[in-house]
Amino acid sequence: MASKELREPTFLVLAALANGPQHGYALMQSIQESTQGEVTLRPGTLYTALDRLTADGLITVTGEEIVDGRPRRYYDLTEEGGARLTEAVDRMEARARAARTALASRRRTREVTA
Amino acid sequence: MNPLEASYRRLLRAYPVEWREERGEELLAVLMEWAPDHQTRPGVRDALDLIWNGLRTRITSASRAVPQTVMTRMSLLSLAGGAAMSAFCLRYGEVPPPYTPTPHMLITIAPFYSLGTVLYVAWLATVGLLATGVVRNARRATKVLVALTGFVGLTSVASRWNIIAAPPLVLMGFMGLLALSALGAPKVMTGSSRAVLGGLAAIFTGSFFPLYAAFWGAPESGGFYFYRSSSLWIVERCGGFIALALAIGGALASLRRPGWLVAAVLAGVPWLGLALTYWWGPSPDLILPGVLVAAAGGLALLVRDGMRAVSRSRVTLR
Repeated sequence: MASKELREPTFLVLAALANGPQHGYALMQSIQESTQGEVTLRPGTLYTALDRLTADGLITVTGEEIVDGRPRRYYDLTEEGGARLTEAVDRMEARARAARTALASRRRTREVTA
Repeated sequence: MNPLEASYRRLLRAYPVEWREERGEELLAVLMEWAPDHQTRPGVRDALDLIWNGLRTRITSASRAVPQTVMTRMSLLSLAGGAAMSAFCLRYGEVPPPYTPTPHMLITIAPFYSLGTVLYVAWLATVGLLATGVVRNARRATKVLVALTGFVGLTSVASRWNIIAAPPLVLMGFMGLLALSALGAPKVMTGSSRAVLGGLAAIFTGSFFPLYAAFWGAPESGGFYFYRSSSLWIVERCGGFIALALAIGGALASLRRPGWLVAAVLAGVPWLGLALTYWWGPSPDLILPGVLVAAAGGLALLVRDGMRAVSRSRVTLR
């Protein structure tokens, strides 16, 4: 059975972590860059998403270091997280393909009519 | 500590203490990195983001203390409570017509009094179908009941049908939402939506009632009329339902502080008795104690399990 669709912040966090382990601030930057600045996850929202994803077993803490006297944790995808991301990407691709096909068909119909 | 860090630390107080101890410094580091140079105060959006997510985290962590058995019991209690209330209202509220016909009485569903009959019958039928296994998707069935509760309430107010008694309507709406929130926990309490829903239901219950009363009533002799009764008695009649609803809401949000819940229940039960006695007259001599005992018993079970969950979580923390 197909799992529930991922919400946008969840998808963006998982997609950013597909590049490898990242800490909180790096994740925010990755998401901003990958969406060309369209989406900015604020720190509070990001950490709520990280809490939820950790509780759901989709991500895990892989390391910790102290920078300027403050802890910095690194997060990474779990096997399950990777599978969920793959599933979400496949679903999006299928929808995009269907939309492209529909648009192409519409264009052809218009050309024939004209 | 610079002023920006001090401000962020104040905002982080929206998060639970345990969360702050574990993750607070990490989040603070991100906030400080995220802030533009020379910024001395948090931006409005960042502040709202922290407050909102802090409160969500509080609710989520409180709800995670509630074991699955409690949630299952809560959903069963809510559905059964709604069914019991439906049977009670059908017998003592809808048939025989409890009021002498007056010009105020508009359209009835003879021999029943109001559109509430539709809701009560639907509720009883749904619970019956769920109990016998004919309908298996309890969450979907409960959604329909909640929607029907809202629909019946709004239709009654907006149309010329007799208006369903508001306290049971509100209480049944609340029970539906409570059941829905409890049924939303497929394995363990994860996610904040169910707890948020429970909190909203409590707020809705508390605020909907005065609004409903104001909609119906017209200013007269120092108050307004509500079901052909002086508004001066509304608190007596309805305070119990509100107190009970808030007490049940407390079961969702405050199981970590069972003392608060016990106090709310103790305050609510006498009010409930008073309200029911006023509402249905002297008839429910036997039913009233039964309802009270059932409600108090169910809530006591919730409190007991909540206290166990708290003691377990304390042991884990040590």
